[in-house]
Amino acid sequence: MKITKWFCLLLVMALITAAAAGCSKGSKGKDTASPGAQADGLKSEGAGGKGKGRFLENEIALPDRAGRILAFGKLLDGTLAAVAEDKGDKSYYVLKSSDQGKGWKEVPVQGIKGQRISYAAVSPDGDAALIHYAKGCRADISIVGAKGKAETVTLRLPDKVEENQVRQAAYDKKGNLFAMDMEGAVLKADWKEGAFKEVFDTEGLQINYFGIAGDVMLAVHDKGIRLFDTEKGNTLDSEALLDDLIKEDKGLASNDMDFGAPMLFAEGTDSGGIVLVNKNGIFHYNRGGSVIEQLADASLLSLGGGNIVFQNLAVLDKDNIFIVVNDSGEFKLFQYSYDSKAASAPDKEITVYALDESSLLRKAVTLFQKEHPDIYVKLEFGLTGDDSVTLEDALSVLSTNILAGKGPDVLILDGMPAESYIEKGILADISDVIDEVDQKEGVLPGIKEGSRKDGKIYAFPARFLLSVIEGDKDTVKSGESLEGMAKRITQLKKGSNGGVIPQDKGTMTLLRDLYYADSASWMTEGNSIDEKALTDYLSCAKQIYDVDANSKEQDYLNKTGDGTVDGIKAGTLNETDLIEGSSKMAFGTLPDFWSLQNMISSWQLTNADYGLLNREVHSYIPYLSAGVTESGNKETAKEFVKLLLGKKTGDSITNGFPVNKTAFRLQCEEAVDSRLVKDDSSIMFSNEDGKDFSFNTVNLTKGQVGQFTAFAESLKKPAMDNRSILNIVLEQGDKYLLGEQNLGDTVDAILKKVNLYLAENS
Amino acid sequence: MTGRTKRNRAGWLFVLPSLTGVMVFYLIPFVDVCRRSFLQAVGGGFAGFGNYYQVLTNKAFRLAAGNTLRFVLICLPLLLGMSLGIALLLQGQKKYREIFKSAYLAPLAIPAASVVLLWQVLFDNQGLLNGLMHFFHKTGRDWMNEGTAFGVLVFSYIWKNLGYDVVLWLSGLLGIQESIYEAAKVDGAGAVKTFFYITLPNIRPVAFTIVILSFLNSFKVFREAYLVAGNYPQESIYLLQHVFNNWFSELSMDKMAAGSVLLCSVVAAFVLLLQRSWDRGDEDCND
Repeated sequence: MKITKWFCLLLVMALITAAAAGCSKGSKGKDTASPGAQADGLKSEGAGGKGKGRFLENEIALPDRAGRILAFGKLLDGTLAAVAEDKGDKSYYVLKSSDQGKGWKEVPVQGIKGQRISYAAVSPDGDAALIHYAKGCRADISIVGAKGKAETVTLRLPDKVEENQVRQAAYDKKGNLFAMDMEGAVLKADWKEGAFKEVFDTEGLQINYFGIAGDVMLAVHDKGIRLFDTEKGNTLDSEALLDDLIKEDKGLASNDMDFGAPMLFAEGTDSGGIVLVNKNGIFHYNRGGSVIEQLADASLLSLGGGNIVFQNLAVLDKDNIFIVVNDSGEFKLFQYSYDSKAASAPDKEITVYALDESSLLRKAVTLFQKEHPDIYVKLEFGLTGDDSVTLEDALSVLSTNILAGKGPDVLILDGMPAESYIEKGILADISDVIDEVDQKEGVLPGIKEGSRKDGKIYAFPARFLLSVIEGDKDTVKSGESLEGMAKRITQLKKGSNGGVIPQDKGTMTLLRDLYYADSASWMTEGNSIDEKALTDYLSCAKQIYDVDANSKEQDYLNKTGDGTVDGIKAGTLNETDLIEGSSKMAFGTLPDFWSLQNMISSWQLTNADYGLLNREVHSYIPYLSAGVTESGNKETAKEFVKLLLGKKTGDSITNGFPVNKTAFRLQCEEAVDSRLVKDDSSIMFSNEDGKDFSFNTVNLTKGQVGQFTAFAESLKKPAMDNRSILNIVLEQGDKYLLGEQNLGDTVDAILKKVNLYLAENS
Repeated sequence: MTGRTKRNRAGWLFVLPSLTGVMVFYLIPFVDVCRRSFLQAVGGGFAGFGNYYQVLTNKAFRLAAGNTLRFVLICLPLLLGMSLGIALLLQGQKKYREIFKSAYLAPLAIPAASVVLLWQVLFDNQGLLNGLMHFFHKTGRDWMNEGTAFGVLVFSYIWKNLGYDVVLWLSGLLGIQESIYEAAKVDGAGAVKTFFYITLPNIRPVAFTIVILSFLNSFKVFREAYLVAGNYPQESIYLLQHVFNNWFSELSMDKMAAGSVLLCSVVAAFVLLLQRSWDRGDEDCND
């Protein structure tokens, strides 16, 4: 009897433990086509048998003067053809190669000198259609023959809107020309009637872009892909698997860029076969089939790089696929050749984990794969935005994996509780990696020192953002402290009937901007939040918000979450209101050299100046903070971190300023003699009243570069980047700014919650 | 082989499948939790009682333990008293008893997510309750971010579990033979005497089960608190499960294991004491 009682007691205890311990969550699976099975004709990974066989990448050299590639395709005789723009004089060439890109024959296009070509297409018999930029509802098309002579024809476009233009063009295999207009209508050229005509029934669907695979048109819309017969114009049976691609990743349907697309299509080598390429890899699908088969994994190729925009795809034969991409403004042609002897997958693997999608991280992975073809880098993002996974969910899954010994090797700690991970011994000391990069290429000294903890470095940012203030000299000077800035804004409001601060500074964006500028000085030595610092921050935020509280547009941050949009860390500095005259100043996070150049270029209209916001603190916003886990493959992981911090990854002019000094210096040099200026880049926009504003991008002066370098070198402390704390501050601060809660209660609520959070980990 | 041994063996065989499940999913993991409570979170080095010391001196744990204890001490007597009262009323109500029983059980059938939605509609700053207060020219409150949050949590727990306890009490009450009440009535016992000398002693066995179940159910209220207010709610509704949940996210498995063992020890002590007092009560009744 006694044994039974004790047994029952044990059961109760176990039940309580189970209830208290919470539930672990399984890691998220991902639906992909299965590599390994062999498609008709085209080879897939592992089709060589015994884990052998895969498509290997080879970059094809294009003629030196070839800049933008407007069109690319395979001709009926197997020749590869492209339409290229000359880098220098902006003339155009038709390039042809009958030896898979080893040599190119250049045929200059005659008769269109000085004219701007928007889009182009190559027909199967070798003619090229060059579509000019034209006003009104028409398309001026130059048909270029084998000798390069252009004959221009004008086709009418549907006139549903005042200004209609072509925004994409392609030929089918029978030589019919198709285009899409500004309204998303897919059109077929009717040469006899001199018009582009709507021959496909899209049933009111907004088509974002299209692709052609032989005689099948694939029109991509928000909910799937609609197939049409290009010759007859009739709608073909829907393909559920293709629709699923869009349903699973809405990003594949969006096409907000001028050129290229997130997914390309081409005819396969077998009947009914379609080859498609997207950021996940190269795939093959047979119409009516039951599987989309992966031919090549993008993460093992350059295609996985975050800044890749797909331009053209051509399937030469079962072993050779050609893809043209735009890689950060540079056009590249890749050949993918099947090698039956290559291992189907690398032997070693490391996992890189980040909360948010990052194009720069993708680029680093691609570079790493190129340098280490024997190592597969698995890139995982905790918050994809495509599901309802919260920050807590993502961190719980990560914790489960780490505890189960399946944790990542490299952690990108942006927004994560890095302090807690360091304290628990999860992160390894990476001082040796930082020292090595510092010796070879240099790193910004303030950021290096700011990353030290007890003499060691556990996490180090590859990039950083800055909080800046822009306006007249007095306004910039006032930005030395938040108090000064708030006073200046109040003063400016007194002498003005219009707005003072930018309209997009809703409660959340404003709180976040000021948080990044100020939070570096909040933590006390007792590991709690300084009450006075928090009170001052909130008071300033309220004072600034109230100045123009009634004229706020929908909050920018509410729409963009944490500030990372499509893998790009976007800044919040927006000078358009300052240019328009609807604000007296601008402030926010300056994300990169590209934005710096735009800001300085806009001074042609505003005569403004800028400076660091809250300069007393000398803080920066760390981005891509990398750490290596103790339990992972440390040496390989450190190699990856080294590459992430290196100048190769750091050469991007967007997505944060590089911490790497060499990369920083190179970007400074680029800003003084900018590619954007050479390309006559300009910025144009209209305000609500229809008034146009425009300015040309200008080179930075050496003085401006020197000033910015001095700012970067003065940085000392990272802003608090723990998203749990940030969310608490934003949640409560929002109520205060909107007048739903008084200052004392807000400070009290934040302190209680944050200190509770900190106490849990003490 | 005797008949009794055969019966015992058959009994064990019937119990075996579920026992195996309990062993695999609860008992063995619990032993592992005990083991981990003496180890460091990462690396697995021996930590002695260090984790227990950390937990017991942790401000967050102490706040959560205090809140949980306060919640149990307030809710348990309130729920048991109210449900017993309603069950007693229903005991004499034969005609509509079934309808009332179903009505009281309805909250149990409502998923936590729906309850949370109701909370938000009711207790939000712009919610119905504040709307009502404005109608009567009273100032609204932020119910979930002030001390009132605790009251909301208590209300939710009582509302959800009341019907269940009423049904359990009723089953006990209806098991008492009518003849006993009739005999007491003949002997001149009033309603109060009948309750204390007939009803209460006869529902003692079922009362033990109800107390234990209500106690265990009080831990489930975390779901609603978490869904409405997240990981860091108003501090009066910051419960032990919040700490455990957050420790898990932050990889503090060492503290989590030690905390769980401490919690189990307290629960075990409570159950043992209750059992002992019940046993003693039974002996007194038999004497």
